[in-house]
Amino acid sequence: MTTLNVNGRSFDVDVKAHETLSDVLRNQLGLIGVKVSCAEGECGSCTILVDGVPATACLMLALQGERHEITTIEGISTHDELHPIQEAFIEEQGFQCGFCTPGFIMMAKAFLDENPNPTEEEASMAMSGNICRCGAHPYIVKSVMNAAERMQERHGSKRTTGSIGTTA
Amino acid sequence: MANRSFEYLRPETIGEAVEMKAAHGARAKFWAGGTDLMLLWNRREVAFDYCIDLTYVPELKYIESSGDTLRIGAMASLDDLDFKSDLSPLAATLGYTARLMCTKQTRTIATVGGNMCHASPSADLTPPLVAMGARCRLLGPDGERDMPLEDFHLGVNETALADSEILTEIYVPGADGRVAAHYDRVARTVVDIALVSSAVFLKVNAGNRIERAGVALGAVAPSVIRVTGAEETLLGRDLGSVNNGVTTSAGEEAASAARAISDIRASKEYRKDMVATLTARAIRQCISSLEGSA
Repeated sequence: MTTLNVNGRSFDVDVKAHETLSDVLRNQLGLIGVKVSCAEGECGSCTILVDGVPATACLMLALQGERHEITTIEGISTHDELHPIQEAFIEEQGFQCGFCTPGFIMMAKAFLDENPNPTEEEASMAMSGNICRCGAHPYIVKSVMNAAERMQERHGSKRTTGSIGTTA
Repeated sequence: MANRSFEYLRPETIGEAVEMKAAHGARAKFWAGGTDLMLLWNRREVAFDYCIDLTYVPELKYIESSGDTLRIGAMASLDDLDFKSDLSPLAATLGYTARLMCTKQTRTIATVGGNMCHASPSADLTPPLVAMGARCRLLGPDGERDMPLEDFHLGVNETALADSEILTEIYVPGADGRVAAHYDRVARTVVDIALVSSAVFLKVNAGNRIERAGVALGAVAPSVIRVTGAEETLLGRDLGSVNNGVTTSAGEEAASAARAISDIRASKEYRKDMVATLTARAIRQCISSLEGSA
């Protein structure tokens, strides 16, 4: 048995050695917000957080999920309240078909946790590892900027420092 | 694919990893980041019976500057390289190079050692590391071997690793003092691989003379090429004497060393022209950062 800690809960699953983490999250745990499009680590649709770090789940073995905290799109909202990034994507219409949206939101979460007060250019660059085939990119960048404001309001203070992640 | 799988092994120390590899030899593959291996497995382009997952071996995951040496553990991720850019001027060049490679959410998985062992002719990290004079450590059941990184790369997807060996570290000796390195490539976006690439490394002494020079090219031969002709053009020169004539002739040396081919993505002539341009530009970049640090 393999134990996966996903969205704050612990699951025992029976996985084959070659199975990808994205397939197991989808097919065994029913977390179908993890979208698989290219399955080659290029489109970002399957982006999840592993110990808070963004990762393409299609390039990880399910067994490599053990002993880590995994977060998927299903784990960022509470039962009756959406995450501010989700609210921002709805308000700015940061999608058309919505297939790539979970990957974008997870990437936005990793980015904003590290850089709570980004410039539009930084937000655009941070979202460049995800592909939206509907072409909603400008609205996605607006959504990330909107989300940054919402998250700062929620945390009560506006941070003015730059990115934490770029300084070792 | 139903009946096709492998056995998963999870060492937690380098010693355990070496034992497992020695026990299974060519039937086992080390799984570093797996960003190449996963694709090859899915396309049925690789076969192995044992997967030795190195992601749970913390001893292999570090980037540090100790004394005059920059050390990179084989399991340091490309994102770690980006994160450690502030460590030194050479770390900054490697961090910049890492940011050209794939997307952020794949850089957190992909490793430096995996990139070296996959030995793609267009691997972005190889030219800057080779230009810097990087060496690597290989560990097997009979002990350790140490060699220049260009000798580690034998050809397309071919390395000097024996079936029982593991790559543990890539290190750059003499990485202190007044050094600069620059890497550039021709490619459309970060998810594209390089059509051609060039890296230059320079170290100057207190008298402003170039005491070490490294010029290495990627994607123009089965493995990385070191251009000794271009290095000799630069060696011993005063920093101020490296004018456009010198950078152009070093670029021409590089172009003539390039064994470029024509394929669907670019012609041989275009690749050679770009090698000359990128090399001359990289030299100028190094010169201007060295002048800035004087």
